[in-house]
Amino acid sequence: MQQKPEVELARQLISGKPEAFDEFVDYFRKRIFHYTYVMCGQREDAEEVTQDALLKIFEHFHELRDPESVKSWVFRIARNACLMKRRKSVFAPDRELSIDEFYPRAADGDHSLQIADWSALPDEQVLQHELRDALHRAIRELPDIYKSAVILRDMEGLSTEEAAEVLDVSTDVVKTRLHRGRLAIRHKLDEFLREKKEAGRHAGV
Amino acid sequence: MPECKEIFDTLSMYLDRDLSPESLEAIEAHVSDCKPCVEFVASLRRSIELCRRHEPVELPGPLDPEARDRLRAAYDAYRAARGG
Ligand SMILES: [Zn+2]
Repeated sequence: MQQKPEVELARQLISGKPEAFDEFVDYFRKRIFHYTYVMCGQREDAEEVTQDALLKIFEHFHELRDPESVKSWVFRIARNACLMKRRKSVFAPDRELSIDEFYPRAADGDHSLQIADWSALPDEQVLQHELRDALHRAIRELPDIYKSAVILRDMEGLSTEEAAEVLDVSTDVVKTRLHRGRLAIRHKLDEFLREKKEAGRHAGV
Repeated sequence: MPECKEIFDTLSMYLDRDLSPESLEAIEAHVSDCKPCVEFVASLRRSIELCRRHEPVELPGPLDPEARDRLRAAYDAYRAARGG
């Protein structure tokens, strides 16, 4: 089946075929949880928000007209559930990331830029694990507006238009936020790789 | 030809092929001929790939039967309402 699985599952549920119910729940439960966990930072909150969002989804299922748009429809509900939860807790305004923060500095007395060697990413298991942790941290540490753009576009595979729909902003805003978010992540990983290299040099490796 | 700094803000759109053919061509011309940009673009591309392949570290706990029943009841109400 070339069809996207979530679209086919939504189509079956809309046409009243309950066989797709558990698979649909399983598919979106994992994704909503991941989104809300990264956004809220707390496992318990994420579990609660995920269940709230799923309930909303089924209570409003009649509003899903087009199964093709199920992913953005679901994430919009998840995002709102997440915002509701957070409004009850601390409210911290988002820090804006400026493009200049990520422009690599030139190395001293040199025209080349300070960039780690990305051509040889670690294949050693321990390092891979560390790289994965570094990536996870980099995503978690992003201010919310950039984080949500990165999750939706690069991790959940939504199109720019779909992400704009979920986030209630224009496609240009999605593109700007995605770019800053990606630059921030690249920057953190670059730092990680350079530190690794330094550490390796000192260890005589 | 645009300068490194001028294209810096458009690199994601360049990688996503989300620019006019003229802009893509101009960036391509610069990027293929400028070592720092070649390296930077390669690292940004790798970083985006890592994000795309990044599997969620955390998964939700098992769905408890009561929670599932509540969801199922809401779906069944939808089916009943649409006459299915
Ligand atoms: Zn350049």
